[in-house]
Amino acid sequence: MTATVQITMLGGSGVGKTSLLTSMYEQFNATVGVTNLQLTPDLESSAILSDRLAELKSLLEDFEATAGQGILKTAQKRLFQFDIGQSGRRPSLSLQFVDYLGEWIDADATPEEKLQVLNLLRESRVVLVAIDAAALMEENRRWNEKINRTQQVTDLFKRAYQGVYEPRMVLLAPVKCEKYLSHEQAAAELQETIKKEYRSLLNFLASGVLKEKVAVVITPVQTVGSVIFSRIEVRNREPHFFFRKVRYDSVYSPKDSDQPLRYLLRFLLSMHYRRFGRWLLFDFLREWFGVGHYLREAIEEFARGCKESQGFEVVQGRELLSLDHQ
Amino acid sequence: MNTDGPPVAGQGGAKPPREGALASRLPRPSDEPAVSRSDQIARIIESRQPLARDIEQVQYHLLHLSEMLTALEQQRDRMVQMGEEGMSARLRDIDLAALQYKLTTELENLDRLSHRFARDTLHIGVIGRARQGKSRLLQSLSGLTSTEIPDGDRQHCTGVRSTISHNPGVAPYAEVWFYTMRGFLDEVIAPYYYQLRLGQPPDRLDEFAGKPLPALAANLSTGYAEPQAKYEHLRRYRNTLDQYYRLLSAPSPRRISPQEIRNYVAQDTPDGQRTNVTHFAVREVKVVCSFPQEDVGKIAMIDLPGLGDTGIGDQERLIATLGHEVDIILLVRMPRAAGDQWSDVDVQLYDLARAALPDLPLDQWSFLVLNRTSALSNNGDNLKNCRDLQDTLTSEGHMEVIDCLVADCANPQEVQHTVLDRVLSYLASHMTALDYRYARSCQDRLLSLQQDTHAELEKARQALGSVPSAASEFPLFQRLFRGVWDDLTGGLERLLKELDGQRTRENPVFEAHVERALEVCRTDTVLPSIEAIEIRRDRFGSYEMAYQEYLHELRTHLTRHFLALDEGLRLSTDEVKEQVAAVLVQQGRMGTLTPSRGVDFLRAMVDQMLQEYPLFCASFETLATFELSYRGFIQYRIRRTLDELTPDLTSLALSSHPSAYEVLECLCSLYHETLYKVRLALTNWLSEPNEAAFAIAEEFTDQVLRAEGAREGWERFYYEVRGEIWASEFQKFGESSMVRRQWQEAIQRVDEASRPDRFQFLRGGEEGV
Repeated sequence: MTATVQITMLGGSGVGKTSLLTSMYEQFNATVGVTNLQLTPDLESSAILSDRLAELKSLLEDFEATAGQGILKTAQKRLFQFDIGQSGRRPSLSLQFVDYLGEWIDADATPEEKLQVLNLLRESRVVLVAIDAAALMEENRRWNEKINRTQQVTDLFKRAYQGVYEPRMVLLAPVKCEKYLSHEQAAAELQETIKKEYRSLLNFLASGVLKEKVAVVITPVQTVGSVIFSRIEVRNREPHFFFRKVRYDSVYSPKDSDQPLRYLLRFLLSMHYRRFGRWLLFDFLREWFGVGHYLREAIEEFARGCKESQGFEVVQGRELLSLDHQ
Repeated sequence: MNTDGPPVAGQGGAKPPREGALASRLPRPSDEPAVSRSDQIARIIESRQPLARDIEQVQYHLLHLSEMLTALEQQRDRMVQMGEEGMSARLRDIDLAALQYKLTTELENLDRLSHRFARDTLHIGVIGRARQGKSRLLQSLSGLTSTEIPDGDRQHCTGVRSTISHNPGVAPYAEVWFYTMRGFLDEVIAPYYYQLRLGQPPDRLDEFAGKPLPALAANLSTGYAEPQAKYEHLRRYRNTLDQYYRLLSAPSPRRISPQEIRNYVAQDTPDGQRTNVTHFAVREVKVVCSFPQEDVGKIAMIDLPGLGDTGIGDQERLIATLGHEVDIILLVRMPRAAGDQWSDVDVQLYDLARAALPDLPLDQWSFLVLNRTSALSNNGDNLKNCRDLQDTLTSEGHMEVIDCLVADCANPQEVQHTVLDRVLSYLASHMTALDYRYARSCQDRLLSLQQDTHAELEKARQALGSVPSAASEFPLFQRLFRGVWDDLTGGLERLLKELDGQRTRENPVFEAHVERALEVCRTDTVLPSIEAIEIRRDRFGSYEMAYQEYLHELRTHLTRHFLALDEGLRLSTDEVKEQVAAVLVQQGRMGTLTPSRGVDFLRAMVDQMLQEYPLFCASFETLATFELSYRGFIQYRIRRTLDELTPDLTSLALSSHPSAYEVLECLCSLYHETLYKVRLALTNWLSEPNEAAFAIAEEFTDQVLRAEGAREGWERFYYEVRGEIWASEFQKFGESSMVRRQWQEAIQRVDEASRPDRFQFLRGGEEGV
């Protein structure tokens, strides 16, 4: 039997959710190989991700690129499925990332579209909020609301998380953040700005019963790695974000794109160890982790590689990520 | 210097003038027979120097007086517009323009005089029409030959002036002084255009060379030989320009050997074969040599250009040179053996010389030299003709000179004995008296000018008449002042409030300039082409160095465009100045004090009205001169944003295998990135001009309204200008009015500047002369 964990990708349109997913997948084998874990996309996902990866890498062919022009926008809601398991064995856990059309949380989305996103959010144990770091950080946050839809994202959570009683994890994942991770001070500034701009969301998640049930982690991901923000040019009142390579001969070298996965598995493993019996929804994990001692150890080793500095921070719910055996 | 020669007593045909104080300060040659002639000459020169300094002092005083008269004139003109008919007529009657004219003339005279007295040599000028033996005379006097002083056997001599100085024991050499391009156009070419009515003279050399010469007007071109000849001469200047124009930018002086002189002054080569135009570029040649005659002293001879040539500038140059440079004139004339008499051209030359120095009768500083030729010469024996002309000099020639000498100009011994000895002796014995006479006549005119000035000042003092003040004036004034004070303070307060409200808003004028500058930077990027990068790489041998140099260039290019923000800053600060000025003019009713408005109003108040009110004056001045500049206000704030275009600071280094394309892409990206950062930095400061405007207006208001004694100060000021502010209530030129006081002060300043001692350079005792 295969257990399935559903993860919602959230964020304004064009922020880079699919790119995040692509680099997560691409980097998995590079960083996880030694642990004898394997991430296998289903055939359809594999095709899409390959295309997207080619696009991402092609960004590096030119010295300079404009965000949103380099990569095609996601045409429709897409479900990316990865099976995770021990190398050479039948995979027994599916990670379903739902990357929906970014416009669905825009103001002009239809009620049906909005409802779909809402349901998705309710059903997902983990939410990955992609944040366009350049829009967040540049020009005194002038373009932040327009691009990251911070307010709408917050409102979605407020509606979806009413009456939630099972543990959840929210990953705030700034992307295109190469410039802001170049040194310690900039990374701290990025963290501060996220907390400030998402204060309303964080306050909500830290209120009442949610505080005990929702783990919140900031996981910055450098989806391309060697490209930094250059400037914004406004044409027809629309901002065009320009990025350039740090060096002319730089190549595609994403950083920390394994981190969201590490946190994700850590969260699942922690849930397993805690044996929250009454939370039936996590029961499936027992069976999966129970398959073999070896797999659990591999996953635990992988999960222990979660970063907590250089822009990474467990904002709340540290106990939901504990790997102590109980 | 040779001092062995015997002193020669004066034996001039003219009597020396009576000597006054100047003469008493100078050595009396006749009293000291043991002194050599060269010593006497040295003493004359030495005694002139202090006088030159005194004259300079008087020139300085006269310039000051001229300024004071100008100030009085401006004040008068202002009052003529304000006053009633009778007073305006009296004011207009003060003839300040005539005084200024005389002053200018006397300044020119003093300039000549001080030039003469400041010289460290005595100058003998030699003039004469062409082919009279002038050059021969100079050769005989100086011991030089036709190599150094070309004579005009074949052609006319050129218009180049040469000075031949005696310096004992020195091997002969010469210095050539060229015209500058400007001097050439103004002094040589322009006079042709004016005299031949050819229209506007060329302003640049390439204009002269490039455009065809304007045609000579029909009424000048037919029938008259002279304009035609002059026109041809001008055409030669133009057509041969390529042969000499380089010399117009050559450094002066150029030291040359005596053998080379001919190349610079003569129209032809020694063999007469080729023509030479180098002399067109030469202003003057100075030859230094040791004269053969003994006991000469510090003497120079000036060879003045021959008349009869068509060089137009010659006549004016001749007169100017005579006036400034010459102490004694030798007029040279060669009587024709075939028969000769005095003619118009002789008299014209004589009159020309006389005009050069009207203060000194020509008969006291000129000799006539009749060039005697022998039977073997081309002219034949002219001794009889010499005697005839000598006898009829006064009766038919109507010329008077110190002495008429007959000598063979080609015979050095004869010239030195008959001419130079005579002239030097005259110089030694009479120069002091001549100097005095010259100085005295200038001094007398200055004293008369001083009296004229005082006569006009007296008119100025009477011009305003007296205006009685009404007894009830003060209470009325107080009531009016209270009203204007309330209006003025209210007006400024309202303005401050308005400016306060705009403090945090972007200043639209400045914003527009910022946008324009950014747009210019965006479109005018001066990014190099691939080819240019390759060329530069080859020059430096490395892309890295080419890249770094381009970074510097892009950065400076960018900052240069931002200098244009000065204009935006100026306009934005002018705005607040205008707003404050408008309140002062309207609510403060100060518009009647000056026709100027806006910033000029503030300046006019500082210059004309508030001199006596240091507190207000300083505040007005501060406001009027307040400026925000790009360098002072913006530059340092955007400096950091330029780091990426600074080689040592940029984060974008070239890769290990760079190419021209990479260099271009990196430059392009960094340029736009920097421009973006500059834009962000600048948009943070768009409201700053408004902040500054509020601050300066508030400071102004504080100082002029709220400082201690401010109200009392304004009350006094308004009282002084009450006639101008409330014209229907008060007399304009009432007692204790500012305009009356300023008028009196201006008169006082002229009075001060025209004290008799300010005009005096001949000191003590000369009143009796």
